[in-house]
Order: sequence, then C-alpha cells, then structure tokens
Amino acid sequence: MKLRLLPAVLFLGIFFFLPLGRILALSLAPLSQLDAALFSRLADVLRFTFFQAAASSLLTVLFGLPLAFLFARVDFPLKPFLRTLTAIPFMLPTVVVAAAFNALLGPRGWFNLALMSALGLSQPPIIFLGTLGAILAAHVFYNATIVIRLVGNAWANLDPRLGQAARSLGASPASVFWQVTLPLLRPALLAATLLVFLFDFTSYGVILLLGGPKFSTIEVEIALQALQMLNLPAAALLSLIQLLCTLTFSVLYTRSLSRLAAPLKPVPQTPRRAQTRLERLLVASLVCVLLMFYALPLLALPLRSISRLEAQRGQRTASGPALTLEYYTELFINRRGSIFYIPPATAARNSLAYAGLTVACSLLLGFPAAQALARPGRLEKWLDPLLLLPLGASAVTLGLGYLLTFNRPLVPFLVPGRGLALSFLASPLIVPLAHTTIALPFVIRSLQAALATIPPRYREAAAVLGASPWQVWWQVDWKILSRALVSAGAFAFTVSLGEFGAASLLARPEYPTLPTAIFRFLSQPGGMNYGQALAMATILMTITGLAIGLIEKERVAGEF
Amino acid sequence: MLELLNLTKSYNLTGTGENQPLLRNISLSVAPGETVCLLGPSGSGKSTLLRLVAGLEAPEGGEIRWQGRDIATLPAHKRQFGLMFQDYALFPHLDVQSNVAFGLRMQAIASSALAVRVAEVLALVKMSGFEHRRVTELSGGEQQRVALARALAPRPLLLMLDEPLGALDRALKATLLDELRHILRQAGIPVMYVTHDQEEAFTLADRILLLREGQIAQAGTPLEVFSHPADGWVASFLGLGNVLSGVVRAGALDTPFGRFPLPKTRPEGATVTLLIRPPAALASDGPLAGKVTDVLFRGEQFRVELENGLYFHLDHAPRVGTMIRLQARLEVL
Repeated sequence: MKLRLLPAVLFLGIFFFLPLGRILALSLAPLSQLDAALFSRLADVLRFTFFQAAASSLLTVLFGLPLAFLFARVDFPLKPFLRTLTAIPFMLPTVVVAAAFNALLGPRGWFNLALMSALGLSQPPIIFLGTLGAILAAHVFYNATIVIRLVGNAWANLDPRLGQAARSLGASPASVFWQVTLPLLRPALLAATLLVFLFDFTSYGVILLLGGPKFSTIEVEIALQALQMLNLPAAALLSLIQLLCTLTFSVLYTRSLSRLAAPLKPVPQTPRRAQTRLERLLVASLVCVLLMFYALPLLALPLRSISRLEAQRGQRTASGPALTLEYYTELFINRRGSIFYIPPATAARNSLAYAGLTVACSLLLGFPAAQALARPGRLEKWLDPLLLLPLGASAVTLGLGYLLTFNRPLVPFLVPGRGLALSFLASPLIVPLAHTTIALPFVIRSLQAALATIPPRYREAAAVLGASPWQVWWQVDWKILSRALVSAGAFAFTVSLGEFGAASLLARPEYPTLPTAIFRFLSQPGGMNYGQALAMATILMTITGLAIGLIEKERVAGEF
Repeated sequence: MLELLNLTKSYNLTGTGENQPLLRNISLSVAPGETVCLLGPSGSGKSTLLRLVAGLEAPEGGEIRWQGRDIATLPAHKRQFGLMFQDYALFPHLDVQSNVAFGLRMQAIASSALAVRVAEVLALVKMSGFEHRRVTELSGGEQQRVALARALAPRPLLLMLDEPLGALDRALKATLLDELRHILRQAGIPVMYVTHDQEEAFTLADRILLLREGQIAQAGTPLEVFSHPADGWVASFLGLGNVLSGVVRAGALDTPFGRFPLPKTRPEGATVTLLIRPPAALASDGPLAGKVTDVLFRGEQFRVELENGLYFHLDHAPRVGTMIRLQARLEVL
C-alpha cells in the first residue's frame, strides 16, 4: 500500500470502522430488553420513516418537475439568480432551515404575529410546527434542487426533434409528453427520486425541530433510545436497519445514475422565451411560487432576528414593533450569572474552532490519500470504495458508534490511570473527529476528481518546455489543485459548522456547538430565547452562505 | 395539392431585437405524386420551409394550402404529413418495431393491422428481421432506413425528407440514393426533399427549386435547370463551369479574367454574365486562349487550368507552360 494512503486508512479504521463494528456487534447480540411495547414502537417508527420519506419524495418530484422544465427550456428574467436560490437550502444546516421556517410560520413567526395583531387574536392561528406538513415542506425546500438539477439537465439535453418527430407522426402535445418526453426523462427522474428519498429517509434535524416529539424516524429514534431511554442495543439495532436500507438505496441510486449516462447523446438547447400570453402567465406564476417558497423563509429568518415584535420580559405594555440588535448583544451576556451557563458566543467560538480543526484534519488526511488514489494500484482500487463507505452512514449512527466505542480508553495501558481524560468521549476533540470522518470521503473524492482533470500532457508539455519536476508541480499541478483544495476545505468547513446529528449526541453541555445551541434555545420558552436562536441561526446562515459562495466559485466539476 | 403562397418567416437574432429574414415570399406548389427537391446552400432556408409545411413552426405571412384548404393554423399532429429528420431523430427508448409503429399507434390502429403494416414498410426498406433491435445499436445506414420506414408507415399524405442522406458516407449514399428513388416511386405520394447535394437533387427530382437566401432562385425540371441556369449564382452553385461577369465594350465582354467574345450581341456598357462550360477542344482558331498552369488527370479527361483562372476538360493533356487556344461553348445568362 502506498504510504500516503496510510493516515486516512488508519483514521477511518479507528473513527469509522471500529465504531461501526461496535454497533454491529451490539445489534447482533440478543435483545434482552425487547418487549412487546418497544417492538411495536420500533415498528411504528419504521413505518413512519418509510411513509414520510415516500410522501416527501413524491411531493418533491411533483414540485420540482415543473421547475426543472422551467430552468431547462424557458428563458426568463433573473434565471441565474433563481437557480442559485433553489440550490442554497441544500447546503444549509438543518437547524437554520428549521429556524427559518419557525421565523416564518412558527407561533412567534411573521405570519402568526401579523394575523394575531390584525385580527386581535390571543393565540397564533396558524399551527405549522409539530405537523406532518412542516416536515414535508422542509424536505421539499431542501431537496427540490436535486430534481431541478438532475432532471433539468436531462431535459435541457433532450433532443427537441424527437418531440417534433412524434408530432409529425400524429402525436398530440399530451401524447408527446407521455410517450416521448417522460420515458426519455425516466432514468434521470428515477435517480433524482432515489437520491431525494435517501436524504428524506435519514432526515434528523427537520423531524426533531419541525416535527416535534410526536414524530420519530429511525434516525431520531436512535438518538432517543441512546440518550433518553439508555437502551443502546435498541439504538444499535435501529442503526443496523437504517444502514442496510441506505446501502440498498445507494446501490439503486448509483445504478440508475450509471444508466443515466449511457444512451442519449446530449443536444444542448437554447432556452426560449415564453411567447403566448398563456405561456407568459404560466411562467410568471411559476416564478412567483418559486420566489415565495425559497425567498420567504430565507428572508424571514434574518429579518425576524433583528425585529422586536412582542413585549419583552420586564415590559408591561407592548411597545410597537421596532428594529433591534438586542438578540445579538444578548448572545455575549451571561444574564443568569451562573457558572454553568455557557453564553451562545462560546458556542459560536467552539463551532468555528471545530470547523477549523475539521478542515485541517480532512485536508491533511485527504490530500495524500487522493494523490495515492489518483494512480491506484490493486490494493488502492480495492480500498477506494471502502473509503467512501462513511457516506452511507448517518451522522447519528456515527455518534452512537462513538458513544459505544470511546466511552473507555482506547488503549488502556497507554494511559495508566492518570488524571488525564480517560476517554475520547470526555474530550471536546470528539466532535471535530466525527466531523472529519463525515467530511473526509467528500474531500478525497473532490480532490481525486481535480487530480484526474490534469491531463498528463500538460505535465509533459511543461517538461518539454524546460520545467524541472518541481517547477512542473508548482506551475501545473498546484495551480489546479489549489482551487480544489480551497473548495474542499470550504466544504469540510460547511459540513462541520452545520452538522447537527453527531454533535447532538457527542457535544458535551459545556462545549456546545452553534447547531446544538440553536436547538436548545429553540426548544426553550420565551421571546428572548427565540430571538437568540434566530440570531445564531442567522449568523450560521451567513457564514455557510459565504462558504457556499467560495465553493461555487472554485467548483471544478461534478454534480452531487 | 400542396400550395405555398408568399410564405414569409424571419428569425430572431438572440440578444438583438432584430429579425433576420429566413424566407421571403416563397410560392410553390407540389402536384400529386411529384418529387420536388429544394436545393440550396446551408442557411438558405430550406429546412425552415419544411418545418413550416410540417407545422412545427408558424409562418409570419402567407398561406399554406392543402387541396385548396388553408392549413397554416392546423397543428402538426393533425396534418398527416410525414417528416424525416436530418439525423433521423429515432426514439432511443423504443426498439425498431415500436419506432416504426409510433405513427400508427397515434392513429389508434388495431394491433393486427399495425403489425402487418410495420412488417410491410420494414420489408420495403429491407429491414425485416430488425424488429426488436435497439435503434442505438444500428449503423447510420440502418437508422436511415428505419427513419424512412417510420415516416412512411402511417401513409402520410405528403412526405418530407430533410437531408436524409446528409450524415452518411459517400459510398453508402450512392447505394441508398438509388433505393430511395425506387421506394419513393413505389409509395406514389408527393415528396418534398431538402438537400444541398445537387447529385441527390438531379437523381430524385421531378422538379428542382433552387433556394438562395430565403428566395427561390430558379425552379424547373433538372434538365431545364442544368441547361438554362437562371443566373450566375445558379450556374456557380451547381458548378456548371466558369462564370464570368463583366461589361460589354466594343462588342466583346471585358472581365477581370480578360476579354471574351460574346455569342449574342448585347448593348454597349451592359453588364453581362457569361457561362463557359468546361468541355472544350484544342483549336488553333478558337476564341479562348491562355497559358497552361496545371494539368490534372481525371479518369476519362484532363482538367486543365489556365493562367487567367479558367478551367476546362480536354481529351489530351497539353504541357504545363504552353499557350493553347480552345473552342468551348459560351452562354450568356
């Protein structure tokens, strides 16, 4: 094995495969505590997980399909901006999306407060949080971009003469759609649906924050069984079931993706403008729906975080609505004067430090690994898919694995009972380690792709022109790789900054991250807690947005 | 049967609001059983004309009449015209059989009759036995045959072919051209055939329409067009020979290539285009003279190029560098 691959292999061995092994071992052990009540609960969870994933995917496809057509075939104002707008939620942390929907439709959100003051109601009239509708809406918000991109690309490359040929053979516009367009889009549609289903299936933050305690998916139940019921075997069993499901869907997705590439030769079309009045009306209304669905939550969050709309504690009468920065200044103040209270600013600092560590670790491990995998030997070829396996494991599963694995010293005799922390679990380092495990496969893949884009002829040309090997590396490889490194680093940064599933299991109360702090503040009563949660979510959204911008700017190649 | 009256179509240059004319006042008619070839260089508007007739695009002005009825607003799928596309546009998700049956299925024809018809047209294009092959696995020539079968299967009232042999190599083209002639004759329906290749046009056409920048430059039987080209552009597009234009001075034509005798008298100072066809013979008293710069062996004859830029076909090869005098046919266009 190439030496450069060793650190990454060792790292994933300890921080992915070992915890995974512990989960497997525990889940296969006889379940002593599995009584009938628990069994029926787990069956319900399983049923609901499949149901909500199927319903979400169906809605996402129904919502995304017209938009895919719109972006692929029609030219309309603000198109590039709107395309970016639909892609933003996909990269946003779940806590931010949950906070955004909360700021728009929650009991203290814009709509409810406006209706309450307009109609003189004492209770919020719109009940959105804690409903299945909230879960479905957030899932559509998140994943419609997958349908728009995958199906839209296929649609844009669809030869329009096929439709015209069908029309000249007597097919009406409707038959053209059913007999020609849809069958030709089927591979892309299938791939998009499977990917959306996969994401919805393992959804965690959205269910927890928008669905509330009534709803439990496998992912939520794993955390619940592990942290609250302290039933680790049940959690491990659920992890195993989920892992098998996601693995199956991933294989199906990869297969459908490979079929997608095969038969059609792309015939890129120039989109045309809407011509008749009916067409213009349709396009305009689609654009409006799109703008409202995407822009409203994303705007509601930052605006709500700087608006005081209700009476604060200590105020007898409600002052009028006003702009305020107090939710932000409050983040730095330990109002309770408690030594156990961690001000949110610390959570932001923790998150940034963890993200920085994740970037450093995943680049240091990923860069040599990508170089080794770019020119693979037999062993590397065999290891390649194995290194990508962490992509299939959910964050909560990873967190559970860490709970099971690192609750005691890894190699006991090396730390002979000193005052030193006895386990990783107690260390704040556990979170960035988990984040590195999650980010590493992405980083390796994207660097590998960037390395593959450097044609050997560039190097040969540079060498023939008189460049020394070092100059060749500096002038050719580095110029291309530096961009990929920035992009991969920004990606690792975003992943770590917004990651909620693993952090919710692993982050210790005294070392909260931004997402766990937002979650905590959102679940506590009071306008000030709500405002601070929104303020933190706004900060998180801004930093993530900047990182996404960086990634988009330096993007080398590839979709999803 | 088909009549086009003053058809006009322009195309919108993207970005600018300007409209570039594609077709200007095209009028033509196609009689029952007649094969009309639209011949012209790329960009002359031939394919656009077919798309207008097929109903895939709407004209900006003029009429499209079928048996006296204006069909300009009739949607494409109700016209019952067949159209064969340049790269065939076969449905990649269907096999050969289903591609050919597509038009018949749209007419909701009973499956037994459908199978009979599909077998019939596949036999016509010599593709029997390919029913269950994927169209993506077929060679270019096979795809061309399937596309033709697909267009013919629903018995269209009019068949349009848009450069059907354009994507094939030379040898294949020659064989298929011959077959196509027989198949079109057997089908007995009016045909509009678009091509930029004059060999195809002369082989298939009952009538040729030469299109130039959206206008009809000349219409007529292949023989008429060949022997009486309407103007210098037609003669040079068809490669009929040396095309010279100049001004009449003292009974002869002054051109950049030199002075040439005029076969017919023309008024002094008139601008005249002269066509000199390449077949020629050496003659000591011939009206054309020049120094030989190049001689190429061309099978039966030699192609001889002169210093003044003219070329001729001669039975005997003169030596490069010698002065020769020639006798050739001069035509005033």
